[in-house]
Amino acid sequence: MASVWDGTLAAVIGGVSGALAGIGATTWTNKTNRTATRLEKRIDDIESATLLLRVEALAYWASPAGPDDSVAALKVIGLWEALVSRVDMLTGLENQVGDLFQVNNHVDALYELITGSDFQAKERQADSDKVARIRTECTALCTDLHASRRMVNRWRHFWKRRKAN
Amino acid sequence: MVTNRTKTIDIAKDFSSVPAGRHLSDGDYSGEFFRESLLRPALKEFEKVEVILDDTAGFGSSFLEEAFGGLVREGLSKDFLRSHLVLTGVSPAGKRYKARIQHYISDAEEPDL
Repeated sequence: MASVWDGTLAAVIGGVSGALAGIGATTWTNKTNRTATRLEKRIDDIESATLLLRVEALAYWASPAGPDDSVAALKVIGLWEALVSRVDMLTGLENQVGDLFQVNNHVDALYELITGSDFQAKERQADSDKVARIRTECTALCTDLHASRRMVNRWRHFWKRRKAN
Repeated sequence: MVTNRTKTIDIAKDFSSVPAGRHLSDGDYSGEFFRESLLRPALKEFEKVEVILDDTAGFGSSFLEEAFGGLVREGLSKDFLRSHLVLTGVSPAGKRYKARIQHYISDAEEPDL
């Protein structure tokens, strides 16, 4: 009789433990998914900020100084600052999004390219070489962001696979 | 703010909230004008000069390079600037400007004596 109770007890304990483990795994997976979604949103925001900066910077350097130059220049600086703020929001999350060294290098390179040389000069000329380099630098930044996006997804799917197993 | 040994230059308050351009010919609040009217005189007079970089509409690299890299080209040594110039930037962009200025100072060519 005692062995029947022992078996029942073991089954109950096993069942409860399994249920608790299941709840724990689901909770963890959901939390991981939420974090991954939030990180992906931040990466999307950086990409959007880069594209906005690209559009304004290309327009700025594709034509010479005009009457609206100072407004356009301030807009470009504001968009670069917005990009910096968004990249800054990933700082400290390198475990999930990977090394941001290259991304930060591109942000600095864009600053030098876009706001350097004759930026805000009265006699500024259009610069087709600069236009091409800004385009290349923005593309390189977005490519490096894809590496971060892949890392976030790999990390998210690792937990999904663990749950499925 | 001025003490006997330290002068604080808040660019937004003491110079312009919209600093722009490299040379005097580029406008009223260029990097060259900032350097010659505020920064260099302060560095000559005070032991330390603190420059606050926040709360402006932002800086172009043309402004910052001329204002700070120009100090080296105008004869102030990099070592002197490292020990006498204090840069303060709290916002993400402010921190980034601070790092760029340090880069401009170390990259600027000292004049041949």
